[in-house]
Amino acid sequence: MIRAVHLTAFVAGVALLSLGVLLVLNAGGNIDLGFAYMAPLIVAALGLTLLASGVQARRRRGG
Amino acid sequence: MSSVEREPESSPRRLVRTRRGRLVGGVCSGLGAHFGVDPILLRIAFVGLALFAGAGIWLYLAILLLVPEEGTGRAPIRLRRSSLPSILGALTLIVALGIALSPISHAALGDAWPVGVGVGALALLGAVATLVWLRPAAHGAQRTRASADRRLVRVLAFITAVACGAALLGAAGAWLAGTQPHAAAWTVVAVGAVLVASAFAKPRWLVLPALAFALPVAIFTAARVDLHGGVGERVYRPSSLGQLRSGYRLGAGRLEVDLRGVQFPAGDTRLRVRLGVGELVVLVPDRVCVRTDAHIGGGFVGALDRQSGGLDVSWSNGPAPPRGAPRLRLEGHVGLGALFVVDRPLAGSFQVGSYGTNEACRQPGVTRG
Repeated sequence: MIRAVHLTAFVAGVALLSLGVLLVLNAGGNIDLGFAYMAPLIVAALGLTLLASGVQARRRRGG
Repeated sequence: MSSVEREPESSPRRLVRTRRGRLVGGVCSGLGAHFGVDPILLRIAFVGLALFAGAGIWLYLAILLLVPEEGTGRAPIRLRRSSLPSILGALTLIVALGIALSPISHAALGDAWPVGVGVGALALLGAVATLVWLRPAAHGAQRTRASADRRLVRVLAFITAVACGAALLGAAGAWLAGTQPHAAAWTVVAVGAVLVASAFAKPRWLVLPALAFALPVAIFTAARVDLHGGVGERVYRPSSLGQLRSGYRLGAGRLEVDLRGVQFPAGDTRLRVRLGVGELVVLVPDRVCVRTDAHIGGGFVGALDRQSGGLDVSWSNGPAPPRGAPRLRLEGHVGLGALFVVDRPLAGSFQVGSYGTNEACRQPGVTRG
């Protein structure tokens, strides 16, 4: 049986995966992540997750 | 005998802006009637909050627009619970975009105001969302005060438990990022992968703990916090050059290095001081020219005749001393917190020039870098 994708978890997961890859590159010295770049990324990850949560709720309602 | 008592008929069941006892829009009188609090206290709280970047005014306006007036049943803006996450998400993305496009952030976030605005907006929206969320949903049934109290206790207990769990996970993430950045980064990758996989199995609760862990990792990484060196308060007072180490470090807490007893030789003497999170104070003798190279992930730096604050602070003041004069080259790094370079112990807040002016660098004929 194929379950419907839980959009919030999926989007949050993709956001964290992307963030994690950047953190790995930063830890390896390949890029240099300061707050100037990290701050918008963090807030964007939160925003995307919240948006997905809203869409998920709407989908659950059937709207 | 039942201990349950019915609310008076006149008591508002839903949160409404009352007509009776209102001064402006009936917000404080409505909140007071709903939560059983004296409206005067709420008015004082709103005025107090207004002092914090106008938060009280914005909160008042938000309630004015989102909460219906007594007798009308409709708010100027109708906000459905299910649409709240979407609105919050859209606003958060706007804040993120604002920070990203800010010319300050592209160079270095020398000023923390965009983040402050973002956090403030989120806090405000969170407060409004909580109010709307806690508004009784059922329209028909009479609710007793006892059941409302029980519900409130349950909600508070749940929020407390979630907050404690999130704080623990956040602390774990922060610690890992500060001690093992590679491991922390790979853990975030793994957590993200688990979340993506779990999206097909519906464990909705995983999202919050995953974010609670990963976001502090990102913040500590961005601040370049290094938590090696222990936790607590350390004070070092070398009394001679021989006792002076090449560097001092602490993971979290307060680190003080008092160099006033050291006789520095002519030429440059290098010293590195590092602190992950907390306050770092370096006391320097006033007869030595001090060059400070400061790197602060987030916080404040005050070094004799110069100060700066915000995120990604990185600067050097490089005055050149007279030929043959001693110079201390100080490299200070603080992840999150404050770095002070002063000529005597701090008593109160740092003011430029009030804790030394680096006069030893300003001899006649000497140009400042």
